[in-house]
Amino acid sequence: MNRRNFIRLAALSGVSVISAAAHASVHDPMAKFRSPSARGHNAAYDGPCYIFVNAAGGWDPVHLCDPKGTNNLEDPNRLTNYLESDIENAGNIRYAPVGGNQAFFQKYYDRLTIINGIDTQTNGHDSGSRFIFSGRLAEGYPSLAALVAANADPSQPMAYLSFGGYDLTQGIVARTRSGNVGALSQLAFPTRRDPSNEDSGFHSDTAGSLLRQAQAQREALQRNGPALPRTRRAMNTLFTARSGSNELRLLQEYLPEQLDNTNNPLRRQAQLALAAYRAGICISANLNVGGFDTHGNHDASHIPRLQTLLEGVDFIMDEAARQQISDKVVVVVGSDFGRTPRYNDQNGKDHWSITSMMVMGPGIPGNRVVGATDGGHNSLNVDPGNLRANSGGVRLTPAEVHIALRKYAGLTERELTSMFPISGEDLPLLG
Amino acid sequence: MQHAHHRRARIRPKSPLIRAPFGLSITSCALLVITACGGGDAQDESDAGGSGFTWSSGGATGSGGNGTSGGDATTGADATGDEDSIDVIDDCLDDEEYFEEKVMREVLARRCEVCHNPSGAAKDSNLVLVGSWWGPTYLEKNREVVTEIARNERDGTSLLMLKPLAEIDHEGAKQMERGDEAFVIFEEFIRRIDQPNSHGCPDDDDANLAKAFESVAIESERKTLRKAATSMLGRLPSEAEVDKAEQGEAQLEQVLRSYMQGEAFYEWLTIIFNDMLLTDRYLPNDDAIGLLDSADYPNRDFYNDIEDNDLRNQTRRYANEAVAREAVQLMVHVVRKNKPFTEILTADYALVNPYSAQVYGVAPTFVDRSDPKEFVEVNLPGVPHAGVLSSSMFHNRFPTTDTNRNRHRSRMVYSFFLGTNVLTLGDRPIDTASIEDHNPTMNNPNCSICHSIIDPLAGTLANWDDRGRFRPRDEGWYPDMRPPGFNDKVMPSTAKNAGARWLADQIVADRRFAISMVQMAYRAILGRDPLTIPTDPESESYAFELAAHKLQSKIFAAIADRFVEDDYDFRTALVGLMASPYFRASDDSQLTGTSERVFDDIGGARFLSPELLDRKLSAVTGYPWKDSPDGTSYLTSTRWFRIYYGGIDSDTVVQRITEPNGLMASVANRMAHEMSCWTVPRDFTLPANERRLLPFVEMGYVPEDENGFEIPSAVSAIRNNLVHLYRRVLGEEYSPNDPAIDIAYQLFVEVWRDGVAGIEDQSYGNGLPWNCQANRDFWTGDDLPEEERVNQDPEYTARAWMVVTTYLLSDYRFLYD
Repeated sequence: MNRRNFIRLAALSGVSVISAAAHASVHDPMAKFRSPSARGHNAAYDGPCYIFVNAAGGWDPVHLCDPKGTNNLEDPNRLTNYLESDIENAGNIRYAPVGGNQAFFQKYYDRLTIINGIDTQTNGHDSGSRFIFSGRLAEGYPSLAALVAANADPSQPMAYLSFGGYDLTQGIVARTRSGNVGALSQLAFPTRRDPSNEDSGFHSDTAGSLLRQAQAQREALQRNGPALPRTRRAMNTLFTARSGSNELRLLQEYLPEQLDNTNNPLRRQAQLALAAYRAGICISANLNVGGFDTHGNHDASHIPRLQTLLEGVDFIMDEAARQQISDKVVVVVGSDFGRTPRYNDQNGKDHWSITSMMVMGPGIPGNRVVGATDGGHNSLNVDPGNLRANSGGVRLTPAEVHIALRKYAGLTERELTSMFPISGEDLPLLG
Repeated sequence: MQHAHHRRARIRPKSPLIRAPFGLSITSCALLVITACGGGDAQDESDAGGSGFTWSSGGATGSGGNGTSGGDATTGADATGDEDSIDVIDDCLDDEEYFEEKVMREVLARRCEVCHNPSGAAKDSNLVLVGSWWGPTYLEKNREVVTEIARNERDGTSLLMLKPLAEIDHEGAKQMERGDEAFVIFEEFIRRIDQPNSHGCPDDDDANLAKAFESVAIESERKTLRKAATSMLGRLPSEAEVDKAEQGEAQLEQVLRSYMQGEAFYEWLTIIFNDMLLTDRYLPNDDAIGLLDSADYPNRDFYNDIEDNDLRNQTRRYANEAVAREAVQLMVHVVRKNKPFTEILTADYALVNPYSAQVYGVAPTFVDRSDPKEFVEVNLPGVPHAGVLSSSMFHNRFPTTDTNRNRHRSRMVYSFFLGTNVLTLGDRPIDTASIEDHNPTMNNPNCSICHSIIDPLAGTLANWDDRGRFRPRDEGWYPDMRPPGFNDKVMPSTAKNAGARWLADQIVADRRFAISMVQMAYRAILGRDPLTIPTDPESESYAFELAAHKLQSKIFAAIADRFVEDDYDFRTALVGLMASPYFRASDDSQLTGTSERVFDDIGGARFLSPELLDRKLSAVTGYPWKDSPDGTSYLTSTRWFRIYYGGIDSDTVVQRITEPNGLMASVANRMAHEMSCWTVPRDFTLPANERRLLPFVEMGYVPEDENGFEIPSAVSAIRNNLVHLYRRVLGEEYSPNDPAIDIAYQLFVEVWRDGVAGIEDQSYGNGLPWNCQANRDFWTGDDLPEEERVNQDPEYTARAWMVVTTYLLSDYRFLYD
């Protein structure tokens, strides 16, 4: 069977077919979940941490980083309800004068690359999200987060942590999907009735200590008792899994004593993702916040969601700084597509294929905007050299963005990446 | 091969708990003899030499003679003495073993197979040998082919001799000389064809096989029933069941078979069948119904006309679940109705409940039209049924494309129903540069080795399109592929519109079907794949792995025979495996040296899946790990811990994790803490004789008086209760003063002492943590009478028992079976 068919058949069946680096798990795709000793593994991951933030539903760039003000607030064809003259700047970045934009852009403009005028070529949620986060409009590609994790170290127990959004893996890495942050926090603090309350142990501290002593005595009895070879291996695996070196205890070390309990889901997601990264068991994460599909009452609904989104990203960066890993964290923010330039009859905005993305991370130039749209929020082609608007230039799509992101992440030449080639222009979008 | 180099060692069975494998009986405790060529075995008694082992039941005389009248005297070789092998059955080669050990391994594999294989230079000859990729019957198939060649003679001499002697035309030239080892082996093989069963081996194969397991102690009937009942039924065995099972093997099997009734069992079957078909992927929303073509089933979303929101959602859920699980439910139905298991493929009907019947637009008779669990057989218009093979969900779950052309489906059919992993055919490096042929899947040996197997079967499913719809192809099957067929048979044109049905008939007539169903039962019961034949003869463990595989194959074959004899009763396969050493091997087995290597993987030691642990929790504590009876199950909900605990979602996570990692250990730890917090106070709300965990103590039973002196009656009660807890929670039997009980007793006492001191100095309160308090009846939600509530713990005993219960619920013996 040739390689192409083998890979396809295997992928269709859910079998992992992955790089040589991870070949040990081809026959047992879940082997990577095992404890280090059980799988013969090893070193904590300490490379870059990739966080992909998904604004689910299709955000509106003209209320964010590609502002289109009006000169007449009564104009029925206006794109927004703010004046052109009110548009604000943070360095070279222009932003809409609404919601939490000012606080965010003033704080981060010198680290941000904004990519405007991205043509997703679709108005469908699934296909848009797929294109934005995998680089291909058609089905069948892993998300970039999955590709990053698979190339870095798919054997890590939470190599790819997902809280939603486009997170298909095509079998190249096991994804830990957790829409329920509460579940993970319960696992991080299994002996507490309330994970966020350190004084809520099921048993007293003394009882907990006595329990562990008794368990150790029992383990010693079991280890020394008669056992079939298989039983002995099974016992060793269990005892190792719950020993002091297991991953969850590492995760506990880096989780804050009190998980965030505000109504911004990105904050809890970020706490877990960064703690898992700090524990050396996570490489990439999908963070997800919804509520952007505002077909009615757009401004009142959408602008607060954008503010939630930006506050979430701000939280990621603050948390990264607090944990002294700012120089390791890469953040990519995107959404399914954009929203129609004009308001519909319900003061809502429908689906529009033109969108933007925001990127921050070590080595990514800040205070920079590439790509552009016209006054009607139509995409403008860009010159492949200087990236300025040029009608004879290249039309930006998520494919060009992903080519640039793959290059930035050092994935371009990797064997695994070559299984998922992207056709597009190689543009200096990230410098 | 030199007898002088063989050494003999004896292992006496250490345990009186010897039982035969399923269907077999052991009447003697003959010594198990290991014949060794070479050092390394601790049991060796004689001088060193050689490099391998032969394990045989030579009897107390220690003669080691093969006792045969045929065979090896003619070869000059010891029939038991292949230096690379460990003969785990006996020291005599019957006809089947002679073919495997001598004809196949020593001659055909070494001299012939390189050309005589499906893609070799002799692929068009009458002698085409298959490898283990063919599935569990590959040796039988090869034996049939070689026997057929051997029976053909020219001038009174078999072609099997003439060809390799090059005494007639043989493109492979001369491969043997008259009188050499291969010649002698072929000669003996032909003699055995003429005089079958003349080998002189003891004719009680079952007893010989049983002897091979004599070093494996078998666990008690109580433990066997405990594992079976908790997993299949979610309850513990009754004393009456244990008493009956202890009367003998037949009674044990009767009790096991009696477990295979009722909704809990059928629910368990649903889980294990879905582990194979993975169609639970379509359970969410209306995902399954959405896969049906609205032109074929215009009433598919009938529920949308229901005005009441709750009723509409419930109706949609019932309908979608029935459609999603149509193939799984069909398999369950075949068992439930005591039909031959072959019907999972040959059923000329589909299965619907009252809700999916409306989706499909059919109107069969139901006893209760509101019962989503009532399934009946129907014919869907225009669909030629063939059990699972005509299920739209099956075809959607294992889809095809214009270029894949059903090959993926073909591969899965081979895997599921024939025990054949066609992908192992491609387990060799392929030089892609060499693949330049026109239509390489037909013409290039690198490709055709797989495609000659996969493509004909793919063609039999031609009528099922990429969306799982029955859409016969007007243009027929692809002319650039092999014609539809199976094995060497081409599908007759009369079967063109019912290819799946034709295929089903072929599959169930194939011996591999029965064995593959036994393999499926093994996966269900043991939670792991059967052993595969080792492929690296250079490996240090090759001989041991080969012996282990051979033993397992023999047992599977024996169970498959019974399965077939019982008219393909799937319960027979399940009972067979549950009665076998693979399920029942005891940790008391005294394995050493060779036996330890051969039985390296025997026994349960299964890390319980989320579903099985959920059942065991209910069986032992009386309560599920849920906040309320209608609440979400922490262990089986994908929103909570199912995936973290190694379970599957049948979508992107399709393979269970069978060894715990840190995440899974943490789930178990939380379960043990939370369930002890909930169940200990609840247990104390009940009268002592109704309690599951604490029937021998009361909350006022403290081990010491105020002066620190033991209170003997209380101490005795506490120890007795610990004995009860070890038995109930872990299935272990101890006396009250056993060291195992001492650990738990010390834990109880020390926690209690700390608690009493803490209450005195007010560092601890009198009350139980609020979410451990038992103020309501869990099942009804009703408030308990004030006097029955357990929310205060002034003596600190409830909390001490909670710690002990956590200790037990987190134990290896609870988390594994």
